[in-house]
Amino acid sequence: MSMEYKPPELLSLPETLRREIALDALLRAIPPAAADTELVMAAGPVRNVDVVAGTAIRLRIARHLREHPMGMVTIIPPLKGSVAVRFLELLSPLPSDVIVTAEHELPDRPRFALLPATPIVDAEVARIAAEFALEVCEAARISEERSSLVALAVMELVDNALTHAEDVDDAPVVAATVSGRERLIEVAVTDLGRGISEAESPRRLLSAIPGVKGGNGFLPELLRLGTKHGLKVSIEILAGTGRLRWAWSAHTTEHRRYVPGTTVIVRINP
Amino acid sequence: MSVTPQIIQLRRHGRALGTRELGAEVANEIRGADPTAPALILDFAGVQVASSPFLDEVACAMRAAIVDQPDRFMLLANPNGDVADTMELVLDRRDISLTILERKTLRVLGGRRHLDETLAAARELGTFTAPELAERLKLKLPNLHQRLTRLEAAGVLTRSDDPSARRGRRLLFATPPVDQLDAALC
Repeated sequence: MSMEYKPPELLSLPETLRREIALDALLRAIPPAAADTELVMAAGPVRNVDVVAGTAIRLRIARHLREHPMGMVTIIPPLKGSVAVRFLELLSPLPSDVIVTAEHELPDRPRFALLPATPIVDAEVARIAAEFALEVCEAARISEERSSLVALAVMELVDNALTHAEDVDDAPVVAATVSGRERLIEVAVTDLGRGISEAESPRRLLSAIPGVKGGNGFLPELLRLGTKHGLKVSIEILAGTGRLRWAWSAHTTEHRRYVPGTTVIVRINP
Repeated sequence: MSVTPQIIQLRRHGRALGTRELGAEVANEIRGADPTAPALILDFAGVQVASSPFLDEVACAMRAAIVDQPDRFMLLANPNGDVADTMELVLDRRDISLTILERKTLRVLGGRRHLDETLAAARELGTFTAPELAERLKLKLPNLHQRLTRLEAAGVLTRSDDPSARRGRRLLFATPPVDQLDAALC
């Protein structure tokens, strides 16, 4: 009996794997394939990753393993060593069905990923993730004010995603990174809820988020707490064809290229 | 009279308190608290962060417990500045007030400034009738009653019938024995 060769699904990742580009490259719709299809994620050319790359990759892995229960995922990490370390730090630990083709030694203490991309399957995991973020921030000598804001952002964003993306197959994913000489922190949550992204006008829905035009909401509360501690906090939401950028009272919405689901990014500058 | 409060320590749930589910768990603890304890204190000592959904569940449970058992004090204790700020946001959204006990002081959260002034005057009297406090604050009784109602709803004031009243019914109001409650927290 001859074994039938099944070509893997090859996903070539672009040089810049950030924001909309990462969401589009990793989460766009794919044609159905056999249950044992292998996904090969070719990240060799990648030279630039951000926090959204982490959430998008983790969601893509989850989706592949769910849709292909006998399949597996192979990751070819970025060729550039320092980028590969960041890339793998952001994804570590990976599920057992994922193979990485090249080994890289990860730092003892997180240098980039304050919170590696983590699927939030329930409220308990959300709480543990926030507590973990708090501990890692302390280990990374991030100020108490910024650490608290990171933990609060993780909890608020995840709680919101769990509430608004109940009917999706894959759990929302959260991640947090710190980068650059100024130690910019970014917290992101991506969920595949369709409420905003598939609406007739995602931009209009984003402009109606509680707090955008005054009033209360957890997003303005994050901005307010940042201001109170002298931190520059800004928020970006990517959902379908809509994008919201929000820094304190100044917020703008625009029509952009389509991305699946909703991604909320909180940036915390010193 | 010695007052031993029941204290719910939130730190045992972690330093980062989030999600509505955990809030509901704490709300159950509040609902299941000993109804005979003269005071219930929700102690935030050691909690670094609390999210608004978590605090919303807690605030609603505290409010319900105050309504169910108006004869005992229900207070929050030792939230850090950020937790108090987030709680205030939650309370504003619900249009309710709660009271914080912190280093032997009481502060009404989610209420107007005049409630703190009324509470301070009430604490000086300890146990009092409405006319006594009205006289001290130079307020008319109907105005004072509105404030007393808000303070009762904030869990920081109890009322009982005055047994020494010679004619009809007279109400006695009481503020918490802050020194004793603070000592119990330490």
